[in-house]
Amino acid sequence: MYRRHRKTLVKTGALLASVTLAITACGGKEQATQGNGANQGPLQLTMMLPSYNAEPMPADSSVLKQLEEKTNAKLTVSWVPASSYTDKLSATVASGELPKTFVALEPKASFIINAARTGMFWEVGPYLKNYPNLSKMSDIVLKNVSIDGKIYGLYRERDLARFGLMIRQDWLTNLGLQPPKNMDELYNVLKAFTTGDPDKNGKQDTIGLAVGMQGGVIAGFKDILAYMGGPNEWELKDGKLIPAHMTPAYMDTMKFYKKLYDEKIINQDFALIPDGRAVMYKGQAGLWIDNMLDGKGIEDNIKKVVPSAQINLINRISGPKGERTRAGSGFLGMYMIPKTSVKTEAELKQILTYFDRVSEKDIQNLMKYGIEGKQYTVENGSYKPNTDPKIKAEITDGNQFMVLQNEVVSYGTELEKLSTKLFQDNAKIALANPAAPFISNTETEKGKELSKIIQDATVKFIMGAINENDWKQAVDKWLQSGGSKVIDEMNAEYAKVAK
Amino acid sequence: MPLKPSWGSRAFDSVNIALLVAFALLTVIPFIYVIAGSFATQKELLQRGFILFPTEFSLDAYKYIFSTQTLVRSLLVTIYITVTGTLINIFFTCLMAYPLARKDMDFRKPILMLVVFTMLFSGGMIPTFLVVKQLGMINSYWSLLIPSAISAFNLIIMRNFFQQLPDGLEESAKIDGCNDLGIFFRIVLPLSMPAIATFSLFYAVGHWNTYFNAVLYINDNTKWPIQVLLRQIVILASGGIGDSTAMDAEFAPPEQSVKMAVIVISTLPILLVYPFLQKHFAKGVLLGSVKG
Repeated sequence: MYRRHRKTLVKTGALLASVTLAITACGGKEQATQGNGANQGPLQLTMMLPSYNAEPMPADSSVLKQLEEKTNAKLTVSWVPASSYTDKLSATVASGELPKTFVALEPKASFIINAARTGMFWEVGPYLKNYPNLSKMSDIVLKNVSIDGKIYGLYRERDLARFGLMIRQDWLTNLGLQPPKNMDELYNVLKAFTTGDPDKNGKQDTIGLAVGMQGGVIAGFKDILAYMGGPNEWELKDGKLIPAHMTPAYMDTMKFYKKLYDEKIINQDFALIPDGRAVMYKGQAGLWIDNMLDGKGIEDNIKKVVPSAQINLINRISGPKGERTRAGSGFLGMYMIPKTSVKTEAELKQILTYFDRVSEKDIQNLMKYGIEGKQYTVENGSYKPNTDPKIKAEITDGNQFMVLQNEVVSYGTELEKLSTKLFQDNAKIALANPAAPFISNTETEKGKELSKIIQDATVKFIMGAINENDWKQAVDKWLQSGGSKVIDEMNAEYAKVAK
Repeated sequence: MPLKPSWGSRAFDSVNIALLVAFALLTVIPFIYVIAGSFATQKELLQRGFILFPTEFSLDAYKYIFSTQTLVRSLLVTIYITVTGTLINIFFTCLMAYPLARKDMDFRKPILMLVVFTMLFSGGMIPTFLVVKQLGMINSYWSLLIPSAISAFNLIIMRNFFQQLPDGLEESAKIDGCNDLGIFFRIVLPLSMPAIATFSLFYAVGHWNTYFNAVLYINDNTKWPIQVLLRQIVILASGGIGDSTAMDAEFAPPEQSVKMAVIVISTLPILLVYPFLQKHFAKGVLLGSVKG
């Protein structure tokens, strides 16, 4: 008995010992990677960026090399698939194991706000004025990215207002119609697209407007809402912020959509379609409302089915309050610099110098198009990208490095040039979201559940499953589930700034 | 004298068969659709929408996929993870399950309790991440192999399997002069092959589908396993990343057929393993191999 006892003890001991050995053997590797960021030599910069491609930029990319040379930096980039970027970032932030700079795709995500409030990131706002390029950052957008009025990072610039109509020009021509300029004309065109056989195949197989649920939001709804005189997410009325769905214009927009739905002008299965562009691609729909950058992709795709297809862009539709279009945030994520990995102010300044250099014209174009003669050539003023997949891969996701994009040379097709022009035009009639800079804790916590109540009710109303009374009940439910708290919190934040 | 099947039982049979066929089709047709779609042209996919056999056969999607190294590389990564991972899993699971099955082992109950505890309560994403980080396994394949080396559930089933082996076998081996390790490797393991084969498949499929851990622990994109790549391509192809305001100028979603071809390539290898293990499955996980 005693012997057997000892034997098992010895065995357990041996097992434990080997396990401990195995575990400790794996440790102790990470110290080497954390250099001490001193001032000598090139700047050692580790960064974490989202990748929008199956094959991110290779580490030995010639474009990356040139960026390093021009900025006198040694970059170590860790690419994370954009589809799971936020998950990875929240784990990384929670662990404190952050690179020297990273992109926060959603700077208003709760874990970023909490981390910023505990002082985890450098507040870069006061430094910006010392840098020739960074000092040009737009005040509106800086305000949008600010957390409690402080700026914790460098936003990555995007055009402020990019929404508009992408319409089948060949259909308009076939029907002898002019591009719509106001809501009535828009409706007439859509109706004609549905009933007038715009593709001339003798069959009634077309619809006017393609609609899908883009990220749970009805495609084009927010834009039509703006055309109809509604607000961009929040309305400022008599010194009070009101959410869009509690304005009369929202009801009008729902009724407009319901009419389109009832007259079969939009695809009847829209609530089940994750991406409405697919309906356009089939060549069966005449209009798509979203980011006008989609125009080129849509035309390319329709051409595979209907070679004669042509897309035109329209940005000005006038409604009861004149021509207006909704403004986006003006940025796509922002670069943040954590204090846990960048310990000294000197190093922070070094990193800001890097970003300032990145914002100069030559680097902006390098990161957008690659190296001339390698990734692209310009012949007689027209831009020709190299199609060799290996060389193309070296510029993949290059624009993730950019901060300001104001000096990018515009090449590209007519449609792309037109979209650039319309973005600038849009900026003049853009309708900002007055609540964009404010944070409501309830919103960050429950925002998704809350907006689902409204989205579901909106879809149901359009499909005729509920009436106006039911809609009012849904809004009440929204208020009770936390919506009224969101309104209070937003208004409290607004009151702080307004006085 | 054989009984003629009654009208009722024949009716029952035909309804049964019809239902089974319907269910079989329900599971098989989506697969055929994906395979057919991977060979179809973009034009046909857009126009017909649902195809079970492409009229125009095209290998473009596969050509596109294999034009870069990425897919082949991540396929190799996944094969490596699956093979080493499964070996590690089986080794450690058997090594732990066997002592727990032996009645003469001390602290058997408390250890088992601890194992069961992990099934009910897990640390959660961030604590696990911190542990992996502290062990220095970030960005190394070990992060995908070590933390999941033993599945508590499989361990318990394995232990039950070992317990079914008659004590007499071990005693007679001992009388013939075999020590504990000898009993384990020369008697117990060979008798447990059906169970080992079954668990190998369970573990292998798990490793093949490694996705989230890889996203969390692997920073170097040349080490991405196939599922990370697959998800990236599928999500991009359906344009599903957030608000399109956020999209970049050059963003061009990959074509539908490419997406389907990637699905085919990333599922096929693990499907091919199944027929070879199927006979062990037929014997059942919980059935013993020692008869009578």
